[in-house]
Amino acid sequence: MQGRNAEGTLYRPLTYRAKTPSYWSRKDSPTNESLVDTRKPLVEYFIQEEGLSIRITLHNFPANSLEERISPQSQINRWKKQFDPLVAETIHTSSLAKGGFSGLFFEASGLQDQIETTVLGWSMQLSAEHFRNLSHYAEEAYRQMRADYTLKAVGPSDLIFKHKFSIIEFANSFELIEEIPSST
Amino acid sequence: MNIIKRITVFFGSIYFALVLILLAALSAIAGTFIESHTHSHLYAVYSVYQHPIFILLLWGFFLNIFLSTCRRWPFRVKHIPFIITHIGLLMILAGILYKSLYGKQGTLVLLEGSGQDEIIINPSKGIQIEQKSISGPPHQKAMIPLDLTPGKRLQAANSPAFEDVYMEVLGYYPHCRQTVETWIKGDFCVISGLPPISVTPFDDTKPFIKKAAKIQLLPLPSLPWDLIALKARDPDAAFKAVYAENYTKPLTGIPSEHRLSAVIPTLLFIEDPSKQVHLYSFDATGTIHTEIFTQEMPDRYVVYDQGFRGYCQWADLPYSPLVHSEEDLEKRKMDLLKTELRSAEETSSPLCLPLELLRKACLINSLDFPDTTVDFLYTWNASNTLLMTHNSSLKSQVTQCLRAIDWNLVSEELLNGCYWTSYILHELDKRAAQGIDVWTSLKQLNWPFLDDLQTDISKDSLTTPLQKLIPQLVGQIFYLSPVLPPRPLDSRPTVAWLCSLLLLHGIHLDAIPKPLQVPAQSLKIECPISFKYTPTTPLKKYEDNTPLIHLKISHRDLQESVYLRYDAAMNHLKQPVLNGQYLLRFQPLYEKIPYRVRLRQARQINYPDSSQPYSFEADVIVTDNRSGTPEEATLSMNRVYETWDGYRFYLANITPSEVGFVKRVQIVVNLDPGKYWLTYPGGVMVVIGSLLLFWLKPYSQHNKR
Repeated sequence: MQGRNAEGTLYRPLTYRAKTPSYWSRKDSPTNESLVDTRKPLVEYFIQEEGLSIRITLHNFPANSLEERISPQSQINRWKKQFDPLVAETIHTSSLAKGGFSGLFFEASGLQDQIETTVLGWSMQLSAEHFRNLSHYAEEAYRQMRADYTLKAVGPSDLIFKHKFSIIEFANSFELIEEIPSST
Repeated sequence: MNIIKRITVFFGSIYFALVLILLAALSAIAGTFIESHTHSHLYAVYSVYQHPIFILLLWGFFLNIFLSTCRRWPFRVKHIPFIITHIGLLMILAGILYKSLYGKQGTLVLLEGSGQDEIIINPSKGIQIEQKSISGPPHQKAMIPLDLTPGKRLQAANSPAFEDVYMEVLGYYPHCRQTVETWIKGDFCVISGLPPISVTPFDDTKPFIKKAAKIQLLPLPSLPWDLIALKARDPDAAFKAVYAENYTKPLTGIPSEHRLSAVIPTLLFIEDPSKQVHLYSFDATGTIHTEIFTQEMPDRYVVYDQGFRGYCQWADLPYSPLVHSEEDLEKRKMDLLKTELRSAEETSSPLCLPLELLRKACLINSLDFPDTTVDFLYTWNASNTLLMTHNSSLKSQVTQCLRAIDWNLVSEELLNGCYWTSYILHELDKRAAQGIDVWTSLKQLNWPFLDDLQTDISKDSLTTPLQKLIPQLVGQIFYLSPVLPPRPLDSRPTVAWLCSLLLLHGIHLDAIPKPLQVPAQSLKIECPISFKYTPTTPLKKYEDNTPLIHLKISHRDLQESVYLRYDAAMNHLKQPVLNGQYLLRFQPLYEKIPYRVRLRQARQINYPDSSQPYSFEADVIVTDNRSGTPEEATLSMNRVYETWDGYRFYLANITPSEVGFVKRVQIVVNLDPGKYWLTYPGGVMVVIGSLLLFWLKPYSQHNKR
């Protein structure tokens, strides 16, 4: 999966990889479209079944300094606000770390556009040590590597529950293609 | 020939074997005792197991087994179990020897997301040298094994980038203590960008004589700061002395003690007897900031040019963004007041009576209410009197506004209070002109409620009468106004009446606090971090020792001498040398292996509802560098990953244990190249030979017969 293009160019460096089941469909952003706006997803996956659909989106948030980054909790708070209403008892948040990133896993159900919806989300931030190491490299590819990322699966609760395992497997296999250089 | 034969017979005999077994047993006892006494495995290894005598003992075993086997020549059927056993033993010993020569044992340290193909060899010592790459990282690196031979020139082998770089170990100390020096280095106080200043001792039993350097920390026209560095037993006492010295200066050009006081902005470093540095700073508003710097490595520091330009400690000094001159402080205060009045006017907030009178008067004359009010207050304050008695010094538009005040809006009772207040304060002003202070005047005038005032008056000499005393006095007069004689019928409201009303509501420039509430900005100062090493007696536990080397490094015409402390975990700062061309670190040696290991995720699995670990696991990708083939594997405490050519990867440690943090793991890598054709077959042969010995009993009396 490609990262975002920098301002003034449409080149998107290959940044991430993950294992996806063959029955998922993938939609990439058009190559002639700029993805500088971080609200645009890098890639979308769809799990379609009986006219219903789960949408899985990947966003990343390149930053030039540690201070610029948004905390994973802020992303989760934003996701909570997308429910109207959110069923408080269904909220589950847990910490996790993998591939050099640490962050939060979020699961919640509620109504979105009057439809019973469940969200599975991962909001991950690169460790400060890795971020500093990658900051020494000028190329855009490294800026993409040090970006925080979010993975979010949104869909009807029943369908999410049915495919939860494969979505979690996908998120667990998600990682940077390149190793993060070490400082030693 | 007889002697040779007798020697051969002895070395292959059971007697020699018994001697060897006895010595080995004694060595094992000694090793165990030493290890338990010192709690150091390394101590036992160095003093026993790697001692030349012990190595000789192993060779003795080899010789004994070999000769005892040869002595059976020509071999007969009954010798088969014996020969199988002894060849097996020889193979095991050869396997050990082969592993020590060609095997590998080391550790991979990996952070989740990163990969490594260099194992750290422990225990070992070397110097890593790094040269900055112009195009950015990764930088050129080389490892130089430590050689303590006096006068030996060390150089990185096969590294063109370092071909002109030579090193020489000038001294080696088995153990040392490291302390960090920040702002005070020896007898000097160092701030980056400023010349060092000397540190003077402070004696709290003698009068303090200030020795300060003047520095301009903020852009002109701000006040210069005093920079003072002291060594003191009691830092707080020293600070108080400096603060008292620098606090009592009234601002230049202010004639009365009723006016603003200021502080000489000061940066004070005090080193206490434990070598901690106490930083005190206060800007011209007197706001104090304190910080303590210990001799430990700070948690946060500045790294310049990835370490090639060194490391810095910093301090953020809060200061008021005001320019600290008399005029600017006044101006700032008035600006704030105007903002407040404007905001009140815009939001139609209710105003107190005198301000409401002024606002309405301004409205009638189309004057700006905040500007006019503040102009009036400023002129009143500048008159240095408790009351304004005439309009001559006021601006024309202010006078115009005062004339337009509608006194009909004020009750008769308050007007009476205004009259008497202006009468009494005018009297106090007259006495003040003769040099009699307010307090004394009130006493002389037998003011009946003096005791009530006294209890409320702050003893703080810095409080001016207009801040506390006069508003209280005015309050008393107005309280009494209903019972005071009525004002004369011909009395007309004056500017002094307005002042009285304002004082009743505590409105006077002196009563308005200095503009300290302005959000403070911060000023960053830095000092280079340097390390001081003190060689100390080595600990019995070798593992806890941190050796120190004194090293001379040269590159062409440049030469430098540095001290490097052993960094076993390789997570301390690298030492920049030769004008920042190179970085050095005294650390364990590392060696490349043909496999690159990338850590994807590591985790501690606890027992349900417990923080007790049940297992540790690490998901890795092991890539064969020769073929480029990656393979995914999960290592755990009892699950070892082994490659086709004998590299074994064991999970040794995971930190931190908490969930949600990026993990660092240690993976032990082991290669025993002879185990499949020497050690393991040898072991099997020993077992088979031993079984045959018991089963066939070739040397029993029955078989002999």
